[in-house]
Amino acid sequence: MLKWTIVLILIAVGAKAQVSADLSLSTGCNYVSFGQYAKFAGQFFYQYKGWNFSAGAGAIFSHEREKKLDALRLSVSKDYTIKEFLFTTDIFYQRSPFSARLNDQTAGILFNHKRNRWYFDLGANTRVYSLTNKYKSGTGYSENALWEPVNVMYRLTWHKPVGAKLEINTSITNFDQFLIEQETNPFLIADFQYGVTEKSKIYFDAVYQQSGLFNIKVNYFGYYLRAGYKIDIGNTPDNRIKIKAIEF
Amino acid sequence: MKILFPPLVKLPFPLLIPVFVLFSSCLKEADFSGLVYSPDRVEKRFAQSMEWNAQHPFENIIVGGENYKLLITGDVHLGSSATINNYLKFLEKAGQDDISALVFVGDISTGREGDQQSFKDHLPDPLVKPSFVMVGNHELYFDGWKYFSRLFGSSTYYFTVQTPAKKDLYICLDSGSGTLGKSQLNWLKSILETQRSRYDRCVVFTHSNFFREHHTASTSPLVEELLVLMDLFEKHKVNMVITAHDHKRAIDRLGNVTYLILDALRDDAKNATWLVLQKQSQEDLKPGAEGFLYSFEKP
Repeated sequence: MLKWTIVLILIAVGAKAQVSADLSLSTGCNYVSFGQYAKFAGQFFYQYKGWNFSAGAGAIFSHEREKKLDALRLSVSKDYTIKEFLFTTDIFYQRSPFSARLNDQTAGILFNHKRNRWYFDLGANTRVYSLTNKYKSGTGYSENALWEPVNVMYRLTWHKPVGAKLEINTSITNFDQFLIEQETNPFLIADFQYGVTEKSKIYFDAVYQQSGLFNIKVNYFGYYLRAGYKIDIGNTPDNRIKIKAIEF
Repeated sequence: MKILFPPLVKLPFPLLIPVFVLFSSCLKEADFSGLVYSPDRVEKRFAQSMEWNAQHPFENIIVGGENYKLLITGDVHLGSSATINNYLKFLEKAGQDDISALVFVGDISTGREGDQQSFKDHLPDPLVKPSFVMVGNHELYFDGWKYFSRLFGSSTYYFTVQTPAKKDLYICLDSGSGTLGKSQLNWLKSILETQRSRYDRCVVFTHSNFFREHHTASTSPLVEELLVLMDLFEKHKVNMVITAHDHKRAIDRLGNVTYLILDALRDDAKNATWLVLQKQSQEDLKPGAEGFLYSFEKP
C-alpha cells in the first residue's frame, strides 16, 4: 500500500520563531457528494524572520471519495513592504488522492495585500490530473496525466471588525483551504472570527458554491460549514532544529 | 455606458474584470437575468427530460457496416448573425450516404423561440438521418428551455448504433448550467454501471468543456464534479468525451478517455469546423486508443 511520508523540517537559527496551528471541522453537501460529507483538517505554521512555512493535511469522509486523505499541502510565504504597503507572496504545492485511479496535484503562487477594509489575493496555479502509479502499472496507457497550464486564483475579502474580539470577513473567491476551483467558478464565504484569548481564536465559515455564473445561468451546486480553532502555540527556543515525520 | 460607468469605477479592480468580460461579450446574445436567477435549473430540466424519455424510447440506429460515421458539431448559435452558411454546409455534408447520424453538442441558437424553431426546421427528416441535440447555456436564455423541451423533448438521453457485429453507446448530457446536477449524475452512473459492459464503444457528449488549455471565460464544471466524472469515465472505460462551449478545438487524453473540445460552427467563428467521427472497428484495440478515427473539417 502506498504511504505518504511528509517530513517537516523546522529550523530556527539564532532567533525566536513563532508556531501556530489551525484545526477545523467541516460538513457540507453538494451535487456530487451523494449525501453529507465531513472533513477534518489541520495546518501548522512556522514563522521565522518574515518567512512563513506551513504544512497541512485533511481527512474526508464522503460517499464520493474512495480515499480518506483529502489533501496534503505545503507552502512557503514571505511578508514584505513596497513603499508603505504590506504584501505577502505565497508559493504552495497540494496533492489530493481522489480515488484508486485518480490523483489531483496543483502548485501555484499567490500575492496578498491587505487594506483597511479590503483584502486582496491574486495568483495563479497549474494543475495535473494523473492516474495513480498502482493503477497505471496495470494498464498500458500512453497518456497518464493531463495538464491544465494556468488558472487564475483570486479572493476579494471585505473585512469588518466588530468590537475588540469579533471580526467578519466576506469573500468572493475561487479557492479555500484545500479547494481550488477554475477561475470561472467563484463561490462565497462568510467568515466569523472571535478572539477567545490573545493567542487563540475560534471561527465559523459558511460557504455557498454555485455553478454556471460565467455561463450566465447560475445554478446551486452546494454548501459547506466549517468550525475551527486557531492558536499561537508559542515561540521555539533559539538554535534548534526539529525534524518530524508524519505518515498517512 | 453613461449609466453604468460611474458606479463601476467605484468597484475594486478585481471586480471590474468579470464585470467587463460579461458586459462586453455577447451583449445581444445573453440573458443577464441568469446572473442572479435561473427558473429552469438542471434538476428541473433533468426531471422533464426523464418524463419525455419515458414516453419516447431511446433510439437504436442500425447500420450496414462496421465503419459508420457520425457528423458532430456545437456552437452553431443560429440567430446570432444574419447568415447561417456554416450550418447549411454542415447539413449538406450530413446528406452524404456514409453519415449515419448528426449530433449537436449545445448552443444551437440564441435560445429565442424563433431561432430554435428555425434550427429545427432545417434538420433532415429524422427517419432518413436522425439528429441528436442537447442544450448549451444559450438554450437556457430568454426562457429557451421551454422551447427546447417542446421542440426536442429531452436533453439527457442515450442512443445506440448497432453494426452487424457490435453495438455502441452514445450518452448525451445536459451541462448548460455548468453542472450535471445530482439526479443526472446518478442517472449517468447507473447507465454506465448497468449498461456499459453490453456495448463495444462508449462516447459521452455534453456542452460544457471540462478543461482549460488556455485562458477563457467559458465555464467548466466545478473541480469536485470534474474529478467524479473523470474517475467514472475511466472506471467504465468510456472512449471519448466530446464537448463544445469554448469555441476552440482542444484534444486531451487521460488513460482510456480522449477529451475533445469542438470548434464553434457559427458563421463569425474564425476557425469553424465540424467533427467527423468514424468508428474504427479493428479487433485489437490497444488500451487508451479512442476506438474511432476522427477529423475536423472546415465548412
